[in-house]
Amino acid sequence: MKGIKNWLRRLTAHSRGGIRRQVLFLVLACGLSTFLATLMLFGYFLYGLQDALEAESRDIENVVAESVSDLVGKHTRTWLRTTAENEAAHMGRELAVNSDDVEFLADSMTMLMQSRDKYGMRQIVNARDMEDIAAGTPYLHYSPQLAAEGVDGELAAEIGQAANFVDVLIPLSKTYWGYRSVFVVASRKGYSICVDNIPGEPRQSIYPSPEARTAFLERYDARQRPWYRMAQAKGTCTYTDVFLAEEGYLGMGCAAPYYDENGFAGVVGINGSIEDLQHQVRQVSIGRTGISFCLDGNGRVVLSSVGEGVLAPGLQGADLRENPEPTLAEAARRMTAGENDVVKVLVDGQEYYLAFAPLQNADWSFGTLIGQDEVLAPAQEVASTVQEEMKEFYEILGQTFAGGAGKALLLLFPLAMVAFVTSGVLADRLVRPIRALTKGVQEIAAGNLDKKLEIHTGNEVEKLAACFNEMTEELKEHVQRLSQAAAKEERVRTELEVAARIQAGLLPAPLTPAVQAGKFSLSAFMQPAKEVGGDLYDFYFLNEDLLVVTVADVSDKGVPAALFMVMTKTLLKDQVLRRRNEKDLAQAVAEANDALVQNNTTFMFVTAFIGILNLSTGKFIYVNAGHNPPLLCRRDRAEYLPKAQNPILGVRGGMAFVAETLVLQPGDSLFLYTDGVTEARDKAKEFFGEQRLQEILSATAGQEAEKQMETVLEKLFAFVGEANQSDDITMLALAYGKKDEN
Amino acid sequence: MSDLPIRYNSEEINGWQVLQLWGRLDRTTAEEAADEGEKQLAACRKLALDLSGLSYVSSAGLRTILKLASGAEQAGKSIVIISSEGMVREILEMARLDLFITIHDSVDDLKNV
Repeated sequence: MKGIKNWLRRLTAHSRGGIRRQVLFLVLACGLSTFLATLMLFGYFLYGLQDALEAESRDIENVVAESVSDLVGKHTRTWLRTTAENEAAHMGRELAVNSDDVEFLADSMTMLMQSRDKYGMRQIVNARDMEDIAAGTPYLHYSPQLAAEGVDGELAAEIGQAANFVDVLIPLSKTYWGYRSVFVVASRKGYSICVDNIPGEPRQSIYPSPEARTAFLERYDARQRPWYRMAQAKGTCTYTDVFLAEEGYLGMGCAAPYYDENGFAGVVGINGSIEDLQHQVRQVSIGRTGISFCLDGNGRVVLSSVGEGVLAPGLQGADLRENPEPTLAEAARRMTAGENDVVKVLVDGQEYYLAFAPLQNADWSFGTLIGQDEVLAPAQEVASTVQEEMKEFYEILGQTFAGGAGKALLLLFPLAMVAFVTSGVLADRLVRPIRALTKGVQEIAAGNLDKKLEIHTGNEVEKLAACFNEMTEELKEHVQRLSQAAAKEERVRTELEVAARIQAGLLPAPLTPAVQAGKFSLSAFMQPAKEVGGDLYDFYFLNEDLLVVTVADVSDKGVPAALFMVMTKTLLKDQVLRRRNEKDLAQAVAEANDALVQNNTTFMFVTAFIGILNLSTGKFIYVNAGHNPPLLCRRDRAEYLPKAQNPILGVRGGMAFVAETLVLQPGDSLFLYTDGVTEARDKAKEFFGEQRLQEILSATAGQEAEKQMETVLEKLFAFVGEANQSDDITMLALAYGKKDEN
Repeated sequence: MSDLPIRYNSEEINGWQVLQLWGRLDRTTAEEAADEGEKQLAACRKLALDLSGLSYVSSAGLRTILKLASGAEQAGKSIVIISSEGMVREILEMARLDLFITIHDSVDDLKNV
């Protein structure tokens, strides 16, 4: 449980910390959010694009379809109108030929009848007399009624004169050769003169069958035919309605009345097959849904390209103007009124364009229709093609978009990987110097002050590293200084210890009471300063009576001073011992000085006080070489001896030294000291001074050396207190003789 | 006054280059004083060390004076000490420095040299 907790703590601490991790996270977050934003923008752009494209393509579809249908509509209208006008003109011309011919025939017949006396009798075949009649042969026909009544002489003469008309009829009929046509001159009196044209084999029978001949002979009366009645009724050249001819073809006639001296004499007519016209009309019909038709003045369809429906030709057909379909009825009205237009009509529930134009010289009108569907078919085809194309375009677009999105997604992963790796590398690069810094600093902290941080990133880290290097350098210098100082201190300390040992080793052992033998007392004290000063005291016997005492002070400190002190002591003692008498003391000191000078290159010098006490006589011979004058304590009073007469030792050789003599009384004492005593200072830096020493020794005059020394030390240390001792303190008290008890 | 570090002043009086010292001439200031003295000595032929302003001369101070005197002697130059009555004079006399170097009471005495 505890382990898990620790693990969790480590994990969270790890996830929290680490610039690398933070940088990684930051870069990744930035990169991914940029990616997502770009994707969203891309998606939004795609969506918008698709939307706009869809709207645009729908518009294009509509526009294309509309403009195409518009164009096609316009074009169709123009074309239909042109067609209708051309056809109408053409048909009109054909019809016009007939009516001209009929009028010509009527005029010729009228002329013939009104001046028939000028013509002789002309014999032509009578249909009733002939088994068969060849086409192109003029013949005479009597109506059944006339045949029954019989022909009188007058009528026969008229018929014979009228028969001259074949001279007009035959040439004209020949111009119709090739057409199924019948030329008839029908008299109101029941006879008629005819020429039949039948295209095909020449001289073929005009009777399709024997039955047809019979029927023709027994029933045919031209005066009963519609064209006769119409022409008679109207009195002018008139077109007949379309009729079914006796011969079984669809025919139409044009008839005009002719006159004799008594007025109306009969009707001249050309009845022809209109199958050619009909054929023409059929040919004119356009396209799959196209219908062409001719409307007569009564609103009836006389010719049509279709055989069924409202536009089928009907001889007794209904008036189209009264058709229940208003558009068609209106168009028919305008057609019969001779107008000329293109309109939309509904035929059998289908929408058609109808172009119509009047025929010349007749009250007919030609109309041609085409289904709007067919007209608009190309437009619709175009529209549907556009639609298909657009659909395809959508699909391609959709595929492209989907592909683009897919590719973008596919691209996202490598890019994300690249971003991940790059940010890792980036974070590493960012963190590497920091890690190097950390490592270096740790190394420095571990004590390697020679470690130099080599970071060249050119940024704050490099500055930081430079600061660290500077700091390390300073630290190193400081440590070096410290260690140098410590080494120096150590050296000095060692030196001083050596010096102190040398100094201590040179000092003579205290004299035992037995040696003193009650003749004198001697007490010496030396306390070296922290920096050993090179003080010296010495005492020894030259013989049983002669006691040598020395106090010296070398003008330096430490080992050199100690060594100089050794030299001084050795040389002095050597010189003194060599002579073994007190009288030559000055000479001994002079020679010792010469020896010292020889070995002194550093201007060290020593002040010395050396004296020899004759223990028997109390005579004290001494040489003071620049030393502090000792004190002589005599009878409750201490007095300084005169100042030194001799120079300090070690400075210049060849100097003369002078000895002085003093005679001590028993109870007298001498107090030798170095300037470490008089120049000892208290906390207020006041010198202990000659005065104070003198007073103390005055108070202790007559006492034994140890006692005096004890008192001086006590007072001295009391005076100095806690203050530092700057110089060696050396004292030597020598009391002569035994003080009287009394 | 007596415990202030050493101070110097130098001026030419009566044909002598006089180096005046104030304060204490002891172990701590001896080296500095020696340097100053050597500098002055190098620039003149006759140097007077005026110790009247000193409150104390230690053995190291004496050593410095002796060193200067030795240097002057070797260079064939003159050197004297000026010291009025007082502790310093006593120390000088006690060490019998007069045996190595002339000691005058005041700069006025330089006229007669």
